[in-house]
Amino acid sequence: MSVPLLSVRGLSVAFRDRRGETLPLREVSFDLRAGQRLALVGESGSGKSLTAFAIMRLIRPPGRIASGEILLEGRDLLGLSARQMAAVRGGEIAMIYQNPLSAMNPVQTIAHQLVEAIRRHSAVSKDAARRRAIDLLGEAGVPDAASRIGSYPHQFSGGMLQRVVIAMALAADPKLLIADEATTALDVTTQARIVDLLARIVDDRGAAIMFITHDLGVAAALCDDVQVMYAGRIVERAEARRFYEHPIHPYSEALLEAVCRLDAEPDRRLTAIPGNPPLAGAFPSGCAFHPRCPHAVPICAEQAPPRVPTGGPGWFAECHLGRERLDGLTLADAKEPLP
Amino acid sequence: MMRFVIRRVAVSVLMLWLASVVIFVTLRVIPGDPIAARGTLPGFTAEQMAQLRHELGLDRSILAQYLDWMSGVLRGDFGQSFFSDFSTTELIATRIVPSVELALMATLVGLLIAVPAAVAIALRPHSWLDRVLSSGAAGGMAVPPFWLGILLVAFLSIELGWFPTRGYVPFVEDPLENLRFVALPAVTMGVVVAAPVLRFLRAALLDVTRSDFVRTAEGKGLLWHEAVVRHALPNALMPTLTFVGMVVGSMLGGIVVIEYVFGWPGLGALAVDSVGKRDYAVLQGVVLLAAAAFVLTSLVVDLLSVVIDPRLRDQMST
Amino acid sequence: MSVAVPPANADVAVEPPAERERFQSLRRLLRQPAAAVALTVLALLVLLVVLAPLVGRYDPTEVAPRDQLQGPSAMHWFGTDELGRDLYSRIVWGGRLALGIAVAATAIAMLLGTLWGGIAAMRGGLVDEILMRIVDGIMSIPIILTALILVAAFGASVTSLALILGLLHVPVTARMVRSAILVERHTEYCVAATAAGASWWRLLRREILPNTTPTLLVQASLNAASIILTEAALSFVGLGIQPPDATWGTLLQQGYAKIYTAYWFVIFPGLFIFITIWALNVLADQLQVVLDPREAHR
Repeated sequence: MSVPLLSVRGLSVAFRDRRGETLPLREVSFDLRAGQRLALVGESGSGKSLTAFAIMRLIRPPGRIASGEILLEGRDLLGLSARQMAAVRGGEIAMIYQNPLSAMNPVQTIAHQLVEAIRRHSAVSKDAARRRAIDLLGEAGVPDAASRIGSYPHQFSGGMLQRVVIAMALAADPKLLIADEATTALDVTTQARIVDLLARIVDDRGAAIMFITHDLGVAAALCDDVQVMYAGRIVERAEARRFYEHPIHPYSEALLEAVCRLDAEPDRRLTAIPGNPPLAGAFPSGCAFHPRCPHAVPICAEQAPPRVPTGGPGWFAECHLGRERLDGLTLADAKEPLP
Repeated sequence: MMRFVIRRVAVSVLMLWLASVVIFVTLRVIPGDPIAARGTLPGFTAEQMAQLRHELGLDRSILAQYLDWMSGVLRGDFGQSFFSDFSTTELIATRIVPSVELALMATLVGLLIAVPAAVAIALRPHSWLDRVLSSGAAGGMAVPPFWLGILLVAFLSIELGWFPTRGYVPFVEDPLENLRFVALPAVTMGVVVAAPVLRFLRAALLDVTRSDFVRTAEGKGLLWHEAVVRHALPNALMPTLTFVGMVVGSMLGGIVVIEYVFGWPGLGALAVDSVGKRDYAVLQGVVLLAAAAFVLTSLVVDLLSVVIDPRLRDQMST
Repeated sequence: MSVAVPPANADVAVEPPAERERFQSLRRLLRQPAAAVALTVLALLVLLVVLAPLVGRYDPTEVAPRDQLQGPSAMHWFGTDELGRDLYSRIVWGGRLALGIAVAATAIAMLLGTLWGGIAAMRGGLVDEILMRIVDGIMSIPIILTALILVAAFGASVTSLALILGLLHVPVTARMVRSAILVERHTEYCVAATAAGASWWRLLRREILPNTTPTLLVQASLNAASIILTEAALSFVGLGIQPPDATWGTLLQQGYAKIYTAYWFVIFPGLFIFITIWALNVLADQLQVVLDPREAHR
């Protein structure tokens, strides 16, 4: 098998505060193939965004990357100089942010900020960069781009500005797009349009995307694989359809049950997950989910769960009961073989 | 936009008018009759004093005197000095250039210290450099400007002989000499400006460098110092501009004493002089000009903020 | 929408923030190292000038022609002046005047400024508009200029200096107090008290002012610093305290005249002004940090 586009190995992020150091991201490992569309889901505080910013090496003090490797086409980003890393940012990996209004500089025109992004990664004239910026805005679905490019961020609506941010991310034709809750701050109809836009863009360009969201519905609409985070670890990864139909990890199951599904039977109760997600620094022992897990057994509180392969490339679940749950699934669905 | 400008100018005019009333009334109601002070000179009879009083219009009602003065000022005539044979206008005219030069140079020096220092801190906040510069700012805010001036004279002029101790050469006569003379007073007042501006800009910059758009700038491939200088700095400078206006406004008072220290022939020295002689005609002119400078500074700063901040600009036009 | 029925006894219904809370911020202040240093410095200075007759070492007016313009030594810690007077003693006694004026003037500024700003904030409307526009007008004139004029007119006795400097800091105090009160006024307990029919004067006196005490302390600190600086400036240009009495500013002026021969003569008086203002500034800063917890993380 060829080298994956992105390979994260044992990535930990530490934050230092008055009481000492906490590890909100603990030994995270996963791969992303070129052109793959990966959803990263979980409750807030589970470490999704932190993973994204760690890959970009944009963790600010008092946070720092404590250990691990981030291999982009086999090259460890953590070993790069500041200058080399700057070339990767926006060049090979580009990011789309949660709040487009705060992500754009309020006192510079859209043109200025887009041209800056373009000229950073290719030696073109200002005029050429401006023309390219207009093309990118058009591709991102900003109508009337040529005349709106001189506007300031506050003169755009949230959805329109997110298209601008997306256009900026495309400036250097990156191989990997990281969308960090890119639709969360938008209203529902706009969300759907932005998801469509992202789907079209990654299709057209053959780029990979890491789509961070806490909205499983949005993840389903866009992605090939789903990866679930809880308490700073990835607890399950599977192909999207398999994940939605047969989650292995009890947390995944709970997440899916918490989603209000239109096709659900009318008398089925909408279950919320009992308890609160744990805070970094106070992660429970063993499997961090055990206090909230309906299936927990004594060992869950004592030992970190093993990584159980669940049948596909890169698929796994981190659960002491993973083996049994997987077997149960296979027995129950014996007539209908797993995809 | 136009409406905002008109309203802002109207507020300034109102403030200036209030200041003129305060100045005039204060100078008329306080004890110390200038004519009596002059009358103690031998050879002045009561009759001559009454005559002088009449010539200067001091025997008329306060309101009439005020209206007289104001109508003169509006035509650029600050009235007759009570003592000097020059008109107040002439006295002020010869003094205004050195004062304005000193104020502008001090502001320039202040900004040239404060802005790079704040940027250096923002590049590495809470480093030893931050600690040194922040302590320096705290010191600069506490140091009496005239003492700092004296120390600079003692060390740089007397000890090392690099600069003249006091005096002034007009720029048009000898630009280089002029700069040598303005250096120490400008640095002294510059420190007074730099210290609070550095503190304010540091706080503003540390705030802005944490904002999302600075991270976005890094995210698109800018190096940290580029993100700070190109994206954080312009945003942090906007609120700082208003603050600089306030600092410069309050520096105008400090210049009075600094002119005294450096024998600088400006309006401040003229004010100290006139106070000693109770020459109210000159004093009220000088004080009114100081108030005008203060009001003008804040007006310019407010209008400038609207011009450079696209968000304010849009707010104004709606 | 439901209409809230005022409780029978609104006075007890909504309690103002507990007394304890007010002092908590002061206790937190003392835990800040910078604040502790500043308070210690101020306490030492006050002690020094209060005990001047005991710690002054020499009579500050004792002329000793043979000892004139001597450098610092074991006998004369800060050296001597042109008449052979001990500079340390003169600084201690000068501090008595400088700090005395500062304390009195600060008291005047705080009293009248709080009244002015309090009335403006509580009455609002036209009263507020007029009072604050007057403040704007006065504040557009540099304090030092007005001070020069008034001191020349009324004389430069300790009393008149304290009065003049106090009055000149009323507008800035009024402006600050007004904004602090406006914040407080819109808190729930004030609205409740107003609804219950408390008069604005009672509300101001009983509820609002006690709760703005820390803000008032910040302003008092800043006022004291500004007053000390202005007094020193007036004395330095020769219009403040007149010889043979001397404050730090007067001493600095005398020292400046001897700058070619006696460096210590300009260093020590200025140093005392500097340290005093520094301590007052730091105190004001730290008070603000304690008041606004967000600042603490900077």
